[in-house]
Amino acid sequence: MSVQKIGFNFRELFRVAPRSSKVMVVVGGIFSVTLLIFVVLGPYIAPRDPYQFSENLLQPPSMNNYMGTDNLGRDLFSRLIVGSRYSLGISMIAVGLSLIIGLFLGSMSGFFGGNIDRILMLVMDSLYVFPDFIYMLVMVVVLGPGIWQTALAISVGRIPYNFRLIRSLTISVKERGFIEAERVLGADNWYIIRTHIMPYYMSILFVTVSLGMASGTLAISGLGFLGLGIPPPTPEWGTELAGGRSFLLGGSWWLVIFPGLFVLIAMLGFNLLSEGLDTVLNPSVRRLA
Amino acid sequence: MSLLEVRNLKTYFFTPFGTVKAVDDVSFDVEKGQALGLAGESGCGKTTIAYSIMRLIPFTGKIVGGEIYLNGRDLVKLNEKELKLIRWKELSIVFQGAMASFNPIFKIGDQISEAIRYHENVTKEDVMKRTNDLLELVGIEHERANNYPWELSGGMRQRSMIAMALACNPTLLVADEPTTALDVIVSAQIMDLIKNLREKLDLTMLLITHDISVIAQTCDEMAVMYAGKLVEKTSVPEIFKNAYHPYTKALIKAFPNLKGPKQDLEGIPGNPLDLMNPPPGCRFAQRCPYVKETCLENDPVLTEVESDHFVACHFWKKILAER
Amino acid sequence: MKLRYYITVRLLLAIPTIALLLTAIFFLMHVLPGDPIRIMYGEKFPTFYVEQIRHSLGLDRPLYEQYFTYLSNLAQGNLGVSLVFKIPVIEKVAQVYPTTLELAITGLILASLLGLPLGIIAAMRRDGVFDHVTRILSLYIHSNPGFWIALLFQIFFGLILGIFPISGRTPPGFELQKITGLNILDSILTLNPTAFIQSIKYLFLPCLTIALTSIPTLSRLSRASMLNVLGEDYMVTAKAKGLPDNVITYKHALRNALLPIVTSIGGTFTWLLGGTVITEKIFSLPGLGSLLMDSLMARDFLMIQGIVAIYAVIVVVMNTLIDIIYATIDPRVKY
Repeated sequence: MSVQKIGFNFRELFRVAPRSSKVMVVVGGIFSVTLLIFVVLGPYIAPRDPYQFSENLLQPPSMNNYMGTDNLGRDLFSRLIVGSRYSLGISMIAVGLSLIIGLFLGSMSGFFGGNIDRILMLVMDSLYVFPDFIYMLVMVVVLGPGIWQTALAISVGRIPYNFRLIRSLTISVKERGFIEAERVLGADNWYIIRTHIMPYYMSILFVTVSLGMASGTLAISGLGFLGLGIPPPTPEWGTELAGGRSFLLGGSWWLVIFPGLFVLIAMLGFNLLSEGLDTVLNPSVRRLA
Repeated sequence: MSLLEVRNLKTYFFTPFGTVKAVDDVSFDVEKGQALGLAGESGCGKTTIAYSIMRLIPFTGKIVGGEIYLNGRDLVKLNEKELKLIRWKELSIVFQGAMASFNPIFKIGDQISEAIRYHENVTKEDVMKRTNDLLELVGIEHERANNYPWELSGGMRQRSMIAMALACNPTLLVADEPTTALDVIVSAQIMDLIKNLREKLDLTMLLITHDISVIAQTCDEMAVMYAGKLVEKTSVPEIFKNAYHPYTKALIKAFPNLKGPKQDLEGIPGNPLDLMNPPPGCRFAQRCPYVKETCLENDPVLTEVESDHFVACHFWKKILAER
Repeated sequence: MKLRYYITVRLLLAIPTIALLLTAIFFLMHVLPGDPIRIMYGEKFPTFYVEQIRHSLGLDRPLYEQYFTYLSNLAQGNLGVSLVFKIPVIEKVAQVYPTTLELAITGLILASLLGLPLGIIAAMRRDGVFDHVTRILSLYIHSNPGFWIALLFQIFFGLILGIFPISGRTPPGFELQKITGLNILDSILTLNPTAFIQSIKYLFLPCLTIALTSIPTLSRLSRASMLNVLGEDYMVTAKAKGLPDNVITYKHALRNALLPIVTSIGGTFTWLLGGTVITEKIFSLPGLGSLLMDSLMARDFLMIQGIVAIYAVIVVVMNTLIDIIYATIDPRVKY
């Protein structure tokens, strides 16, 4: 008798997936990867120094400044590229934090059950009910400005969701393979975890992470737009958008449109990626009857 | 003319991995007032036949050939509009899983009378009366009409399904595994109920099951299917006494007798067939203890070898002589 | 009879739920590292004043004492006095919450009216042109942040086309007798057509913005739910009975599909409520969100706490209402 592998052959899954999801994964992937490159290499690939003032105030897009300049003569394009370090980078930290905390608490809750589980569920349920964004607002002010503070504030909002996810995964795994396999095969639990459980987690985590990135970026740019989070002159996209608003009536449309487009592309990238991955990695969701 | 005449029915399912020939050239008749039991193992196509007759095949499948005559009318040629007129009124079906086949948010009484209300022009009082009569017919108290499906026991649900199926006095009743989901005692009750109803209402019935003891108890004739084809058909007493097809014989042997000397259970060796690529010859050939070369090359045709006894086997006579 | 019992129980349960929620928030805010007063007022603020503020807020007392004071104050409806406005917090909050409530509720209604049918039709025509187009559009709209949509609306409808006002809740010289505080409702109740039209004009863009942030989620939800129901066995029964098509779709399928959707509307409303903050800011609507932003900027500690409490109350009441509605439509719910 052999323990059936929760069949996860990624190559096979990709082959039978419908074309639309593959396109989504590719397009979303390109957007996301490009932006991630900006995060990592931002300052090195930006054409100009994002903090450098100049005399060319409020210039429309041109060959010199691809996205124009702001009211202090700084190149908008460079600012936005470097800004990805904040808009996306902080989101990454937040996603990581909420994942780790959610993983820890969720697996504990799922594995041990009992009173720990009950208490945690109660706490998480009550937090889950409250609007994330308002938490984050208050958190950001109470914690103060700064990268880690903002990341922490944003991660708090995601924790209940991750907690629930990991908890239900842990419970289903606990019931399904782990204990049975323990009896049948005796030792080698690590092998089981590696070959059966990890791939299962992986597929769900990919989707959760890209979704988390999307909501994290949304939250950060929202906070930035409201003037909270990272203070200027840091070129976070939301902050830039808010700043550009004042000059809109003067005709400097680029100060509003381009920051917004950056956010839009980031969101599209992550949403397409998660949507496509979800369909590819979960073929049971597709039609057959 | 028989009430139901199935002629060369072919129903295939089209999947991304290939075409499944679930029903491949099946023909049989059911006389008025008779009950035909369609037997076979899982996946042999018997349920597909039931759904083909009801024209309820899901969109992945299609009736690709043959005719189904109900009172002389070919059901295969009817379009949705025409079908809606005869559905439930001329033919109805009792499904296998009564729990899932009822809508959980409506009461039993409403669901039983629903077809009456939409097919016929009757007053509210008449509808109530008929519903109560139906419930009485199947042995359920009138008050139960106000219960929801999930409030009833398995046996009561199955009875309600039967009541529902009889609501518009259909000419033909198809029963798809009516006792499979039930425990033995309730199963026996349902079988008795079906027998009684048949007598009372002079019902014509097609009963689908893998349990031939059910057929033995409730039906007049039995037809055996294997891998999408009909292999034997005759009256119930005859088939249990004198089965001619090797598969039928093996099937009957697989259900031990309660009386008589102790026997060992004999299964049928081999594996079920892949209906996407059926072999050229007889479909049972690979598992048949009497297989010869002809069997692997030529597919036997269902022939009437004796009065009202049909077999699809090249060597049925020889096999009989050997015994 | 039993239903009334259920309703009472649920309503009563709402109170400890709110208390629990506020406790969670309280602890979240009070057990954080660092000194909140010092952080909020910055390094340069004189320590003397920091200590004064800390004392006046009772933040130098032991934690359990603070918690106890907090709860007992809450029970009496005492949320303290606002630093900025110098009037009781609860008074100021009572002035502004109808705006937010009106925005959130109309947003939810609009999102449901637009989003749910889209998903349901997409499910009925699965993998057809409508389905694919809806999904692509949904994804695209979902990727637009709320503030971006609001800005674009402001620019396009307000500045360029000029057909909708871009800020404020009411025009100057607006007259309406207040009964509930919800302008649209009040103008209907007092038969005031001018006020009605004006209220709608001013509410339209913000409401549409809010709705657009939720329509993709709702359409996805209704599509999934409908698909689920369409695959159920009782749908085959309905077809076998030869019932008319619209009966099969509306009576049998839709009513079952709607059940999980109702459950999720609570979560959607919560999400929506978060979005009202930014929308209120952009359209200069005098609601809880704007008040919250101002209080955050002014470090009006008690006001902030009070607004958060009110949000909690709104959310719990809304979810309780939805639970009750659900219990009335699903016969399977046991009281």
